[in-house]
Amino acid sequence: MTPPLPNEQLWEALRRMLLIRRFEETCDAISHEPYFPGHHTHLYIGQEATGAGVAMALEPEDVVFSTHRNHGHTLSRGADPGRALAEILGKATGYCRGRAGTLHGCAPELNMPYNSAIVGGNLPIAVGAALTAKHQGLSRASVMMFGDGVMEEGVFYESINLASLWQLPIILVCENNAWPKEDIQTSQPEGRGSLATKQLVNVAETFGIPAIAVDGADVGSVYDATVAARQRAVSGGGPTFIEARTRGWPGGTGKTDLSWAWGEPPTPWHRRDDAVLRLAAELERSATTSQKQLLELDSRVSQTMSEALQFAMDSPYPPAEEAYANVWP
Amino acid sequence: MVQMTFGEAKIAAVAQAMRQDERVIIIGGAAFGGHRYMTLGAPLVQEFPKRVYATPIAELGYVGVAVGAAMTGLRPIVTVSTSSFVYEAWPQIINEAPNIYYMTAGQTKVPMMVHLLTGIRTAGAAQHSARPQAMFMQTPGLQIISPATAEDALVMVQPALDSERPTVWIDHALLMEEDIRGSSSVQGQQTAFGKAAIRRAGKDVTLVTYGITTVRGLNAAERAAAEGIDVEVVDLRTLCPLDRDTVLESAGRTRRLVIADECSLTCGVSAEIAASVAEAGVDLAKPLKRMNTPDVPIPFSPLEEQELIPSEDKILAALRGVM
Ligand SMILES: Cc1ncc(C[n+]2csc(CCOP(=O)(O)OP(=O)(O)O)c2C)c(N)n1
Ligand SMILES: [Mg+2]
Repeated sequence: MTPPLPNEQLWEALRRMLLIRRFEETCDAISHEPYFPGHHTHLYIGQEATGAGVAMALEPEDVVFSTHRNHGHTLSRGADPGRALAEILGKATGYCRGRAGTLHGCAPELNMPYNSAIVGGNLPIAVGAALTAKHQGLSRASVMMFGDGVMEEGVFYESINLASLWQLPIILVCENNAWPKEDIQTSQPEGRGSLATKQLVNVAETFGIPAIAVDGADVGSVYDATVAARQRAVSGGGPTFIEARTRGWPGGTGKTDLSWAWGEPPTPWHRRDDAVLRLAAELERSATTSQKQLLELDSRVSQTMSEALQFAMDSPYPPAEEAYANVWP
Repeated sequence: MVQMTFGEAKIAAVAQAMRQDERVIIIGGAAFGGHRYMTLGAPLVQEFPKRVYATPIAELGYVGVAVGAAMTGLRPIVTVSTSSFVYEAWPQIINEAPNIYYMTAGQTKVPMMVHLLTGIRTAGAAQHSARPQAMFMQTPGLQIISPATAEDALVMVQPALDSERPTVWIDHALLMEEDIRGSSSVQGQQTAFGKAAIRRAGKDVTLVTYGITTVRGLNAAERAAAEGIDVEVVDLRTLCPLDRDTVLESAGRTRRLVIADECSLTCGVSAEIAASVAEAGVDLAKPLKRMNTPDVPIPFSPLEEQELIPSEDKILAALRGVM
């Protein structure tokens, strides 16, 4: 049994989650501006507790892989919000000098070596990183953060079969943001057809992989599950599958007011499913934290975010000729 | 001349094919517009709710399902949306579908069509900017259509289906709102399926295009005309069959040649055109020029990306360069 998160760690979790929330709200707000390349982003709003809970259970040497919905993963891993936003704006100060953009956001210097925007693209790659760890006897885990949609692709089954057969140290974090299935957003790209099973953990168990479903909007549960999975990975126990269930953010609700945590949230989603408000409410109810402290944390984070936006806006684009750098003849 | 945008025309063409033949179904949710024109295919879903199958994210599976359905009595049109995702279906589209007719000595046919939104659409980065057409040209057994005008979208879908060949429809994510000037019928005469169209007659230089480069090429040709360069624009329309004759005839006449192609330079569509012209011994007054995307993955950052796109300006510069 892992000890639950102590108060100062919950506080750190809230800081990371708030940073993600303010970052994503900023992306949302500027996504229609002419300087915003592509005008679309896959935001992590509603899933912040999963990103923060996983990241806080990991060590710097662990290798982390993500998807198209990566902003929250890089930030919770410790990415600088200014450089992360610069990447999304295609600026030279971004983590990949603007080559990657929103779809391929990663941070090699934080042991997030690469990101695929192809659904399922990164999963076998993450299994490969686990092979390196096992083959070289390294005490580290490979972590794959992925959406439930990946389980619709055949590569999912090939990859977890390999991971299980070879007992590789990988943590498979399936972020099921379509939970429950009846709530699937019809705005999903390409008229998502979804999966014939609703029991995702059973799929992993069929392949001999220990599996657990947790409330993905509860940072403590995500953290506990990840600590256990990491322990299993580095002690030779092979892969673990974690299903982190969240309900997709309905969108278009503007900037979150942290005082909704103890006041009147505007929608049922905010009342029930908003990970940030839930953690803030939990802390507010505890004897050690005041509303004032929470609001101060939020204004520090918001200040960090507006500096990050300024940094990203002020950063230059890589020059046109740089397009030919890193190309093999 | 057709008064429709390209996007409207292709939906009209598919709807017409579905009305005529109830074996025609759509697999992939009618995603003819991609994420930018999400609702483009909605009229098809509305008119044929039982004949449009939305799918899980399972490209290999649903393209293979289309192959099997085509082989046994249906006429599936598969919408893959962004063409990069077709790489997930490579085994079925490259290694199964094109070989079946030949391997069964003509007994088993695979009458299906796979629609792909290809191209550098801006900010798609390396994995949402694919131009896989030349790879398909390396696959005997596939028919490849690439209509560039609304009229061609209207007239090319039906014969492609009627041919009963596995067909790849190379569409471009930026064509949707085009309503190109000029038409594929020359003096009221509809250009036959499989034949290139001379979109603009000219005597100084031949410009070979297809798909999006037809739009850019016609614009570049107008600007060249203002500089006294009379450009003949040859739109290939289909990449397989490839109408080499029209290209050779035109280049033989003008004795100058530019080929505009969004594929990467090496072994792109333009390479096959250039090789054909060389092999036929066409006597060019100046070495031909290929205006392609350089052999570089597509970066996200806007200045870098613009640097690589075979734009109207670059096509114009290439035209000047062969004079
Ligand atoms: C192979 C492939 N097919 C289709 C897409 C288009 N696409 C991008 S995101 C997405 C939905 C992914 O769902 P999920 O994995 O659950 O992630 P979520 O967006 O819910 O976080 C789709 C279909 C893609 N990127 N790659
Ligand atoms: Mg999902």
